[in-house]
Amino acid sequence: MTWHNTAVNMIGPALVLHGSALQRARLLSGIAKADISFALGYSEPDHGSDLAGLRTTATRSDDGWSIRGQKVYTSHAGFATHLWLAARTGTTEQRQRGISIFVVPMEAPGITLQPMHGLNGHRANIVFLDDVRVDGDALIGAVDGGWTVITDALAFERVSLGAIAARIRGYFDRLLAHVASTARGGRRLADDPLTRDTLARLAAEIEAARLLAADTTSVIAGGQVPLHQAAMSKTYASELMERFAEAALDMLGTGAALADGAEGTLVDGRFEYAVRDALLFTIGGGTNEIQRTMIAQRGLGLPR
Amino acid sequence: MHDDTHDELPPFVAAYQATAMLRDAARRHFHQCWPANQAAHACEDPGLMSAAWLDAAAQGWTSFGLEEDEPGMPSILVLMEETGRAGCPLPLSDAVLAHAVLAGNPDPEADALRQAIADGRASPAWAFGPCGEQELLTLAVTPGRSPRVSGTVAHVENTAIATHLLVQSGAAAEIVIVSMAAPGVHVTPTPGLARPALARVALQRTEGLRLSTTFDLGRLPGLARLMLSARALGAARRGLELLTEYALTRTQFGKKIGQYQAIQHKLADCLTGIETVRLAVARAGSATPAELGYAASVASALAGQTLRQVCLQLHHGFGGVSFWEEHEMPRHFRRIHGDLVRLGGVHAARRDVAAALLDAAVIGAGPALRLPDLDLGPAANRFRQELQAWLRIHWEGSLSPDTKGQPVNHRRADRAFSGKLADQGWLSLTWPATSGDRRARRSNTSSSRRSLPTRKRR
Repeated sequence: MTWHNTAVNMIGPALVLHGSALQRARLLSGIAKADISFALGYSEPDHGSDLAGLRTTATRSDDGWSIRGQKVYTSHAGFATHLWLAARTGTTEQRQRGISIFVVPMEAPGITLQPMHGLNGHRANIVFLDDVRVDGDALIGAVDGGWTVITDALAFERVSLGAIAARIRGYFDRLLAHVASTARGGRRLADDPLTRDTLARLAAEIEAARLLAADTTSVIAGGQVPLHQAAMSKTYASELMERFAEAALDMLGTGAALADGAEGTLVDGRFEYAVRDALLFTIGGGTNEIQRTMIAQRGLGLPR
Repeated sequence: MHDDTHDELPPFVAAYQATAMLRDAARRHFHQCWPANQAAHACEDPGLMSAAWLDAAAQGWTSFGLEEDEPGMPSILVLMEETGRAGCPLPLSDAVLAHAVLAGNPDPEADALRQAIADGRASPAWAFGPCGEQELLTLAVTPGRSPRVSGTVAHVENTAIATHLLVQSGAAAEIVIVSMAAPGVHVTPTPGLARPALARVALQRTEGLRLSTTFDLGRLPGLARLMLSARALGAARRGLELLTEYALTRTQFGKKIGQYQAIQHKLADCLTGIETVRLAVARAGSATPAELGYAASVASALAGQTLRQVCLQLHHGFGGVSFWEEHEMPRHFRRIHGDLVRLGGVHAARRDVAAALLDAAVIGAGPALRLPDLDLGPAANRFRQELQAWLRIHWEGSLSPDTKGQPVNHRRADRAFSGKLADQGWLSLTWPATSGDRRARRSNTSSSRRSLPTRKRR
């Protein structure tokens, strides 16, 4: 989680593929200079995984577009400069063929935020859009052509989500150091066979997550969009994060369940945070159930 | 022709791609010579297995070893995978280990046996105990260059076609080779999951040949486990193909079963699991000698804890269809389970991983306690070093106390830090190469882009 993450790893690549020359010059340059950051306006109260049913509307006005609707779980909206918004420009019956993408400045009149407080201490937001006016250049790609932009952006997001493996590796190294320096009941934790076996199992799985992530990037380097590869990487790494955090609590006990700063907390409360944070990775960027469907259909050619 | 694109890929990706021709050739060979519908019976026919060994020799596969001028581990692992896929368990891994050990001995007998193995005239079988250790305690070896060997070894593979048994003598850096045709050799098949059956080999004052070697014999079990993991991987990948084909054709409740989410998600998990093992095996195959032991243990641990579960899931997907020995799946079930429990299996592999991570540092003889870096290729490795050095200067490693009380994601969203990355030109690294703004920076303060990996199409 950084100020620039969504803009750099998701929106930037999508703009490269779908932005006009003017948009690329303005927005890509701003992202690359850390002047522009994005929040993601996709999910709505009634449409999450089934994004094609979204109801937020964008209607033409004399000088651009007028946007009305509501987005939820918008995690960066509290600090981002812009909103990457999916809105309906066609009819509801058109489903994904009636959706367009807009870039909306967060300071635009008509935007109201209502904070949501995540299990991991993160703030997300409900974003209310009440006749928010944007000019014609806010539209990315063609009118009603937003679905391709969305799916490409999601593919790039999944690539970056596979990098969860790097975060787990950081946690693992902290856990390893703690185990090696800790004695319990007069016995070194590093000599406990159950601890050793659990660490080795997790180490092997972290290596697998790293290999999947590296393999995914090599697909990109080959000039292809890694649809099912990125889905495998995201699914595996996110579920490993859950397994890892749960195992760390089991290994270290109640001290690991104390927060950073609490007296007696272990490893700076890293695993108390990790176990609360891990759930988000299995849901964000498309739930792992959606990912599995994509792996089966894109990776193995199974029918819809 | 040298393909410099491979210099920019992670070695495990490049090595896998480089073995594509061998993989295709092996698959064609087995498709013609070892049809899938006959494999289950053929592998238990010593005559057919001996003929297959000669065919393998004609392909040059029985001469593969581990020396630098030989095809090397990536090719060996490809062949092991293809034998697993085809259900043709040739003793290629035994041959590889025999070549590796015999190459460390200058005597003409060692060279002669290597030549016989390469020609297909000899077929070696290594004797390992149940946990990856030689069962030395049950063997008595008399002194001298031609000792008498007595005792019993268990879990020996391919005794029906083996011409030589290789065991450690009990002394450091030394093996004893026994002819399977020598007086005093008694073989008792021990039927079980593996087909052909493993066997116990009893030796009664059997004459052997004692040879020294410069090869580190302690590496044998780990290397053998890696090759068995590759063979099990081949069987699992074939199983995945079979269920995928079945899911595309089998109709139940008016729909192809491949349209049901229950089947799709099961197959997605199988593909992901198999991919992790494929990548881990490829990574071990491309590892440097110093990294090979750890990478092999990781691959074997992953194979052991993943592929058996994958195999069960594949059977679940088939419903009642694949339970019967007439179906192809049971032989893959036997191969996967039989191979992955041998030589200590997943527990031994995980013991090795834990030892590599914990013990060296605990006794003060090893590196810091951390997972080793993954070799991503020269360019990416250089960039990682550069980035790590930069972070040591520019990232404090903890959140500012000034932001305490703010939501965690707001505390982490440090715009000033993003600005420092922008100054390096690193915020546009992940963009497709068609961007005209990839080199945009806030200021022209760094020359570090020179060391970044460049993009090329494969």
